[in-house]
Amino acid sequence: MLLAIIIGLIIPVESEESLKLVHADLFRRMQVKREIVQELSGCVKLTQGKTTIECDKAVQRIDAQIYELIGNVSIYDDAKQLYADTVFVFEAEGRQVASGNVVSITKNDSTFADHVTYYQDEDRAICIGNVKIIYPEEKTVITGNKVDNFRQDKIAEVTQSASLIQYDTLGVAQTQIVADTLKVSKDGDETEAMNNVIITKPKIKATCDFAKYSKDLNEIVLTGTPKIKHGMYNIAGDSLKLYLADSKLKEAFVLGNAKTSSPADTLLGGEWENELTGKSMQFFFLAEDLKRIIVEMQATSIYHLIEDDEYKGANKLSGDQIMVEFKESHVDKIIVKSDPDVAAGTYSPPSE
Amino acid sequence: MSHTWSVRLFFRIWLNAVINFGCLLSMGCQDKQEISVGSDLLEKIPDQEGFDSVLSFTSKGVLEYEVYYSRMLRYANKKEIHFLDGVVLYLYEKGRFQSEIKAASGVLDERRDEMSFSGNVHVFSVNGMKLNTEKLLWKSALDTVTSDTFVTIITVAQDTIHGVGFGSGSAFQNWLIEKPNGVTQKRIKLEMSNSRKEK
Repeated sequence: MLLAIIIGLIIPVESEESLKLVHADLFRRMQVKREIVQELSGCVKLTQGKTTIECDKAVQRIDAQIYELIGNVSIYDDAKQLYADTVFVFEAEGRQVASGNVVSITKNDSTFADHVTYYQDEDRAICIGNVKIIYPEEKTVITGNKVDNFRQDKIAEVTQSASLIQYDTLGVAQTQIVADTLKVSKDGDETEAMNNVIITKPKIKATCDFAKYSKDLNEIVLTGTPKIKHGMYNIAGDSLKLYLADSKLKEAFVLGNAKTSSPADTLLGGEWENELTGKSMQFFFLAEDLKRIIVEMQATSIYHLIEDDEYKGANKLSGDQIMVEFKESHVDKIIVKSDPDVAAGTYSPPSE
Repeated sequence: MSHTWSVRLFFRIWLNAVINFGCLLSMGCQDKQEISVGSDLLEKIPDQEGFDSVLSFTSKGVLEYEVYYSRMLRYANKKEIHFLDGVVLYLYEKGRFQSEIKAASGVLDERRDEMSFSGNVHVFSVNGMKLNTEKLLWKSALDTVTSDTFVTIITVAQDTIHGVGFGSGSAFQNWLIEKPNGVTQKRIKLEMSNSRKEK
């Protein structure tokens, strides 16, 4: 027993998780001033548990507790891979910096960036320069020049040319959100877009100050002077909700000062605009084509009549509810539902 | 002819005379037996032999190295000192102990001012490094220690590095190993995933 203890004290204990040197051409130990530097060069291969580290050169600054992995760095295990030109580990600071053509691949996502800095104590990783994060399961791609990942909270804050693209199963971009700042949370299921927000779908372009996209709920909520352009229709209101099905626009709901306008006849230079206003408005789409609009509460419709390029005047309708039906992108029917005392319809002939 | 050579020649003549006299005595006791001693054999005979002692080498009065030995054979003509049955070299820098080299045997080449070690060579340096090998060469003039065979180094951090080929200064502050492999007691905390934790 005593012998075993003595042997244990003398012989270094080889831990399964300790760093093992598998191969290098040269191991060099140098004392530069007072600093001890150990350097491995030439096809360096190290292992640590299930993790393998490969690089052209590995330098350990013992006193400073810095590891430098230089040239064609690969760090990988069964589930994760990291590739970079260099990886520096500042052990005392709990910081790791991967630089140059950084690629990180996990089962859940792939990240590309110029630099990635990991703050181990804060459980935070900051990606800088041409950042692209791909979530294959969610069919989502995030791009930006800076992505700050708060990994504990599963939140990624994307700034500087921030963009999120949602693809359908065929790989066609269905939703793109561009903003000054994007906050992606819950593994890409929820996204908040802030300032100068532009949301683009195949037939829609929306702008606002703030948008929240919930993949679980299949909805995008837009606030802060939200505006939508769908074909020739311009939609605005205090707040806007877009409901999606399979990433395609199915419904839109406008609440507060809802307004929809469209040029009465583009050939006449957009002199007249058809208008729908109300307190709330619902839009129904089929294959992202507008099929029906329902305006409720103080609903008003102004519809300009143009026949053979000649202006024939305007119809103004008001009531509790106005329903507009579309056929082949043109107004087919306008139905007004209202208390007879509230409903009104006026025709204004063209002025001389 | 230099003074050294004349002394050597005198010593050889004297040694030959002693050997021949011994042979004559033994021939007197045995019939028709011929014994001759050639120059080859003479070169194999040491000029000096010592046991369990120490050789100290100084420069301007400052201790540079010491050799502790069990058995020493000095060959003056070859300018070689052979150490057998265990030898230890203590290296000093400005009189301060730097490292020790232990081996089963060693040869000090006085002309080149270098010493080769072989068999169970162990090095201990003052900075805590240990080295084991079968062959090692210390060159005093160049202040280098080299080996072209398999070496094992245990650093002060208890990292064990093996390799084939080794080079160092005699203080073992700066050294290199070729074709290294081994085990460290170190574990690096490495990150591979940046965007979120594994599910």
